[in-house]
Amino acid sequence: MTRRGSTPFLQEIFKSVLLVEVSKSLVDDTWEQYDLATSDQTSWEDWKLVADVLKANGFMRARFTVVAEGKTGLEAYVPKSSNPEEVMAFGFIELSTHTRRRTFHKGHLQAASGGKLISARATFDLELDNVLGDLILEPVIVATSELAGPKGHFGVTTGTIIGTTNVIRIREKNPVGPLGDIFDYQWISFATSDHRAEGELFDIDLFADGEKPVLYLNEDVEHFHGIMNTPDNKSGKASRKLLARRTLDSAVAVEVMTQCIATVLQKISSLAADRREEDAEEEEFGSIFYELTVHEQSIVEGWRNFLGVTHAHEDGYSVCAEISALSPSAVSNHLSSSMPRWIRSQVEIENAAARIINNGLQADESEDAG
Amino acid sequence: MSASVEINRPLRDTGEVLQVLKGDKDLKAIALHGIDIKKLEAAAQKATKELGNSIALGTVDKALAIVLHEELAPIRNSASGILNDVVFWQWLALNPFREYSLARWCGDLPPLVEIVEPPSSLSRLTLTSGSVKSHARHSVRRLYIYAECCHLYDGSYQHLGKILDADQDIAGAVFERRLGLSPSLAMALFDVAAQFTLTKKTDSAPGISARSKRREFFKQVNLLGSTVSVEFLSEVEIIKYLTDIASDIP
Repeated sequence: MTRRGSTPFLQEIFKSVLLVEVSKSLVDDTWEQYDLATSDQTSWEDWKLVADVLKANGFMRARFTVVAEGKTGLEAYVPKSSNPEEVMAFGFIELSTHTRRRTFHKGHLQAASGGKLISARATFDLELDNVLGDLILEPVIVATSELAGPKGHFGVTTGTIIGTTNVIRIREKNPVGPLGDIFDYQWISFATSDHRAEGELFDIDLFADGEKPVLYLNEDVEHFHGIMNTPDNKSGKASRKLLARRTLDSAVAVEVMTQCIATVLQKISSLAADRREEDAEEEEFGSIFYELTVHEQSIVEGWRNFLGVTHAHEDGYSVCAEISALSPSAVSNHLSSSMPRWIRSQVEIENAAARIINNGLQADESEDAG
Repeated sequence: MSASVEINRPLRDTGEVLQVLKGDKDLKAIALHGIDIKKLEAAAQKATKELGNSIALGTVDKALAIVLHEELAPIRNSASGILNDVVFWQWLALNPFREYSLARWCGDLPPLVEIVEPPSSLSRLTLTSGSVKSHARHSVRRLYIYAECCHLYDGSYQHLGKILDADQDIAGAVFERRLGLSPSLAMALFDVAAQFTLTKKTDSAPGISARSKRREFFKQVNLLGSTVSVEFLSEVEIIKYLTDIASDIP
């Protein structure tokens, strides 16, 4: 039986090592080794690199070499005393939706250990200025002809991916916006402002033109402005006004975070749904992160452990991958229950969100304290 | 009358596109060194006029796509990052190509002053960074993508007609997915998908439209792409796969 393409159980996932070299020249063949934090050959994590970080250190090119020298699991496909390249090929699938590239870069395969193992090696050179958005390099072994499986009764057709290993993800740049420095703050009158309800305490503009989203606070609410500007005392008993401010800090912070996170979460889910519709083969949606606005990216990065269902995200990319994989009911449950509860508990324990508010509000010391 | 707000960022939605069209917001002008904007404007004006004279859409778009691709060559060669910039394409669509974009995609709209709720057709003037679907649906970016695909394929624009004269369904299936990222795959898909014809209804079986067959074909192609590296295949091998799939479609 031969199918077009392969069945998943004929695909092997094999271990490999990534060597990254960088060069400060576009022409010279001088390279220096670059230690990648995630290039641990013992894990299955993707290898990640940010082009702007390298460029900031004066590098202009990067060279990626993936080597697999252990057992690939595909050895049985190769007839005895044959060169593995007669039946399969190793290389990178280069994919970028930003620069619209989808190509194959061939590497090399050879028999090792007297034909018992297959050794694979492929190299990809990259000019860092050419990285726009997100670039994915997926090292794969493909069948170069119709290939019978190890047990003979199943087969795959030419081009079928029969082996994969860790994926290399290269980003153009990291977003900015650390926790605590996410918003610009403005006191305005909601009564004279379009589309804002008079009784509301605040409004968030995630699409503001400036470098940061803007948190508008309603100056019409009696005592709100004064209370929110009450400075912290260094020691001694806190005044009633200070206690009120701390309570309000936390309450507003929770509301602000919940609203922002809900907005961004729904956008991620919606983009993931679009992508599934546009490409049935896509399974990994972390790069949705780059489709978000700069302000949304700041929120995803800064509040990643509130936005995510799990709480150990390294970056916004992994948060987007996690959120995108959730079912609609899981998103709904996260939004309505677990996420706000988690935020409330964290605000109370760490008071971290209150500091976000303070950073903005205390900048305006000249305001009347009440 | 209040002054309009000048913005230099991606438009958030069709509501904001409407604000720009009505003049409530302005897009900040973009400095494009080495680009003859006048030539682009003239080509867009000619295309708009031809649309008004009921010239075939494919014919109008073909001529415009070639001028656009040729005129953007300096950017392609020296500052390709601009071609990845959402702000650049929205500016093109709402400035030099404004009338063309409206005539081509929003021809049935009432006068702008009468529109309160933004119609969905205005989404043709917005873009999402990195989304192949969004780019392939943008009024101007799509023309560039088609021309670029043809140019990468054989260095000419001779196959543009294959894309622009074909059923719009095919361009959507190819370019609104990652299939269109590979020029040789895209061209092969147009060749094979264009061959489907209507199966007439008989006494024993219902009729099947060419469009239904193409949908089934592209469903199978997407399944194929989930296990086969189409990037690895030669053009002959791609064609063989596609014709084999097509022959299985009833």
